[in-house]
Amino acid sequence: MPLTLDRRYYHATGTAAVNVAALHALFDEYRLPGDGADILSIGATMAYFEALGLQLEDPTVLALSKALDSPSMGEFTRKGFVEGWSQLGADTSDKMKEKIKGLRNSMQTDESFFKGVYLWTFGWAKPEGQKSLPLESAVEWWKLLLHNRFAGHLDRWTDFMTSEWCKSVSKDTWNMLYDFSKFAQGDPTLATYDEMASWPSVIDGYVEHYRGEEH
Amino acid sequence: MPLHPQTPNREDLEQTWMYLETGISKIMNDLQEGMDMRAYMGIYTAVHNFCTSQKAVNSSSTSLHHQGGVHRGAHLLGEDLYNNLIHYLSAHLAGLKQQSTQFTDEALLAFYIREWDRYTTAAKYINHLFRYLNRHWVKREMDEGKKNIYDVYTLHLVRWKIDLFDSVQRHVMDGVLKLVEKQRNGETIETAMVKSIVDSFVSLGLDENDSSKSTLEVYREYFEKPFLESTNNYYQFESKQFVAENSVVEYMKKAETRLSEEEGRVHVYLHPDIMVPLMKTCQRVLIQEHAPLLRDEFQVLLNNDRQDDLKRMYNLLSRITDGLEPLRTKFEAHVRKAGLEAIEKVANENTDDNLEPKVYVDALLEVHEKYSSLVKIAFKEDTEFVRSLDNACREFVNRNKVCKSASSKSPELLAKYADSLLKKSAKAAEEADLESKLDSIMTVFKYVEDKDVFQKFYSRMLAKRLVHATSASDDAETSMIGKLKDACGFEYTNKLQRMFQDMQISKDLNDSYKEWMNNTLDEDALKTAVDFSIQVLGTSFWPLTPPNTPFHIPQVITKTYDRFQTFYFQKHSGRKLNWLWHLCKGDVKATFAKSSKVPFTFHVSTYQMAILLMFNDATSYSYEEIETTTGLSRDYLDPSLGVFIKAKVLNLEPASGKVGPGTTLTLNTDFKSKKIRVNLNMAVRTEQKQEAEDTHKTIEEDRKLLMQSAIVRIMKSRKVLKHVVLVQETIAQIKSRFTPKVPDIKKCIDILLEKEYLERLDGERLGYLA
Amino acid sequence: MAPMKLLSSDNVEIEVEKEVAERSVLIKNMLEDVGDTTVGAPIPIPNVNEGVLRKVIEWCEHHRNDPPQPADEDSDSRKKSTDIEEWDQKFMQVDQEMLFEIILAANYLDIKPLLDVGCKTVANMIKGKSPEEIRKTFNIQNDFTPEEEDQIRRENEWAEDR
Repeated sequence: MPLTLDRRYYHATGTAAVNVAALHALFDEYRLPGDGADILSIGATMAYFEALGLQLEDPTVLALSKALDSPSMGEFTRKGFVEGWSQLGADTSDKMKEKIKGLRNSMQTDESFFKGVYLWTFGWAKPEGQKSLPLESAVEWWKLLLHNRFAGHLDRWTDFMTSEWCKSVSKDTWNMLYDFSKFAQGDPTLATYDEMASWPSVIDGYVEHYRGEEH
Repeated sequence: MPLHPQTPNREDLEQTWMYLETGISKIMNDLQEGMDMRAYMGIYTAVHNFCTSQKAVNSSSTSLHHQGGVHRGAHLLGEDLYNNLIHYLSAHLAGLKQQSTQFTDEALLAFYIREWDRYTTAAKYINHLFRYLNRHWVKREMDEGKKNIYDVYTLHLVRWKIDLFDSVQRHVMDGVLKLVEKQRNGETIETAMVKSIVDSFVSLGLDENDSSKSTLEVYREYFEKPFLESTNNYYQFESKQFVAENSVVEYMKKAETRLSEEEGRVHVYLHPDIMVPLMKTCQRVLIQEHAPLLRDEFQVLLNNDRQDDLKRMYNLLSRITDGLEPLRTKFEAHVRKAGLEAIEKVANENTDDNLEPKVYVDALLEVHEKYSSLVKIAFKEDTEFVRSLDNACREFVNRNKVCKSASSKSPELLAKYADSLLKKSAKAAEEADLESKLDSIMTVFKYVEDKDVFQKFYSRMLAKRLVHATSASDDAETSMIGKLKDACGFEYTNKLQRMFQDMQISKDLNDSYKEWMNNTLDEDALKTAVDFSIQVLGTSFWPLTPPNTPFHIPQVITKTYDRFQTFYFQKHSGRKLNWLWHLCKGDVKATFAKSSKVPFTFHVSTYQMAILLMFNDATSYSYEEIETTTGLSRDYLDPSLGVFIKAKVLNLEPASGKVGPGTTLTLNTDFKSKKIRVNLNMAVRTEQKQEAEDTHKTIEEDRKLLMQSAIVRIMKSRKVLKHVVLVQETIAQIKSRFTPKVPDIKKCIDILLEKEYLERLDGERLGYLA
Repeated sequence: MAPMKLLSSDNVEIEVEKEVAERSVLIKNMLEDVGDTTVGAPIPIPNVNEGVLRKVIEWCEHHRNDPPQPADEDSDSRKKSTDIEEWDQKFMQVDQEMLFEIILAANYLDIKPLLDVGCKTVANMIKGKSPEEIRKTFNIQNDFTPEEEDQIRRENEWAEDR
């Protein structure tokens, strides 16, 4: 009797009911022998992404990881996987591919959606137990996220960070860089940048460096 | 001759007036011939009798009714007399007017004054004689609000104004102005004439509402106005011509003279009321209109130290609105430049390391002294100029060639200079002299922005003076700390004062230690005890660092070391003693030298002592043996040995080599010295330099902490604050110690964000996390 | 203080001190204006006879040290009351003719305080009396027609004591 099924097998979404059992099955299908019962490890995740046609250099990966509440890079939990997809309203690979298209679209067109993903990335990407994000990985994520979104400053910024600043990235820096990228889009030559405003020192340092190079 | 005057029939107007007119004419024209009592009483009585006559009441009652138009309780007579008097005066004045046309210039003035005097004197007499008329008829008319009725004296003035003055005043003023111009051109004039004219013009000003009062209206209109106009024209012309032919300095002298002349003119013969407008006129023409020219000269005068001329310029330009502002700007720039040049000269003559603190500070002071005395003497200590001086001094004290490497150089050198004054030395300054030198340090200190740097260096050097007992005078030390406290407050000098307290406490401690030893030790132990004194200093107040080298305490003093620790921990359980061996020193008696029967006393550091004591057991050691026994690192061992080798206490083998591993050191039994006491405890120069660097480094650290704690303090009380406001408030809190840079504050905010004392609420606002 | 002489209308010389004589503004002004040209000669007072002049001088003697009168007469409280100091009351206890002579002399000689005292004395004589009584007191003949009298009464109705 369907009604006697455990509640957790059914989730209602705003639109249509999702077959939770199918999601569990899909989760188990990708689980590798070494993985725990409720976890998809990096290897499993890679295979799953491939199956969905999702490239790792596609920032949609981050949108999806956020949507499925990935605890850390390349990992999914059963709970996050099932609840996330239920929320998104997909229980088959084809439906999932459709939803991924939707996420990609949101990343490009919905600024607040993008901002949510950007801010979320810091906590997800940083090593557990640390307060800041190692510079190398921060640079990678910036390249992924801010491509075409930084008014041509992306390379210069990452160069500056790796050759001049050389320190891991604090949450404040990470977050404020989003604001700064928006600022740069409005004023690509940074002519109206104000060092006296509340920008963190590292961004002041970048602007100074940038201005020095320009002149 | 009848005893009583013959008075006319009181009821006959014609007869009465004829009688009166004869008397009045006499008074008007021939008063100098005198007047007798009978005539006087006669006229008075005639007026009285006419006004009180019964019959006249009836004859003139119609006209009274006609005038007043009101029913009166009593009839007062007098109108006929009053009108007749007016006619008489008008006729008299018409005559004068006619006569006046024969005169011009000074002759006219003389005529006017003569007639004015005669007329007003007569008016006074006639006023008395017509007093009965004044008291009754005139008073009644005025009480009833009738216009153009005056007491008899005022009536005279009114008639003068109408019947004479209005037509002659222009000519009279022409004369006055010509006369004054003559005087301005250097001729002597009869100033009393002008004064009489002024008095006459002033007298003619009558208050419309109260004829007993006078106003300056007539005077202002007919005297002051043309006077100011002609003054304006005169000086406009003169100053233009003078400036074209003379130097600016000469012009200033001229203008000064002219201004004081005009002022004197007011005192001597003009009405005091003209002072303000006259000065305004002169200042406009003589100063305002030439102000750009004067100001252009200011720099030249400054460059040539022309104190008197600068004073002159200040005095002149201070008399006009906003006259000084451009000078202040120039003055400030000039002083700044002078300061920078003075320091540049000093910097060029000495290398950074060589620069004597005294030379540097003296250079700063010299410039300050020069221009502060200029401000005092030439600029009357004008607060705005004092401010400009302060601004300029602050600039060149904190930002000059010597400070190029670090803005903290000024306070460092200043503190070092203070140390050189307060330290015992051969050329110790006289007490009064010292005090004034300390004051001059405070003069520079006032301008130092990095007061924290001064504090740091000062406390380090004070610590040294106290620890090594090299302070020249307790009074001077106290006085200097007092000055710093006055300038910066209790907190700034708190640690310095605590250091003094520790010194006193240590003195007492040594006494009680001695007592303790006498009570606890037996006689033998006492006899063999090493002479010992100690200073126990609070770690948090003293800027002293623990030794950088391991050290094996030599056997001879371990007993003392243990004994004192026992004593101290009995007294203060729970405290910890850190022994600062590198600051300790001792005297060692040396009996090894063959040259002298009297043992030498070597004054040495503890480290050196440990080395020397080894030679009690053997006369020669390898470098490595000494290194092992003393435990000292080579940074300390090598210089200590170096002093012994240089002083020939020890001989180095091989003699040509450098002290170090592989060498041997032997006691030199041929040691010679002219003095019995030999000071071998020399400070090592490299150590001092290192110390200065360390001090600067700790300053940076301290500043970061100071800024962070200020930020946390502000945020704790405000909870949420805009970033910009937080930066401003932090600067405001810290300014008295040093001037923080905004990027440094921002870095501190970053650190606090990272440490999660603060959180960013949005782009602009920050929040405090408890 | 130099003694000087006044000459009454009936040619009697009366000696008086300058300070006392100068209670009269007329004499004071005259001495000031004419000066010392006529030292020793008596000052002619053509309108006042000996009796009255002596009486006036008596008053001036008594009041020689009075403070000068305030210039502003309106603030002068004496004007508003009919109080007379005791000495002056006694001084004014003279027959009616003399009383009027004193008043006239004070007016002529310009001695304001004395004039005031005289007028107040008269005022006190009038106070509380009917017109008929007043006429009787001062021996005045009623020369008003009944119509005139009626008009005056109407005009002064406001001042009547009720």
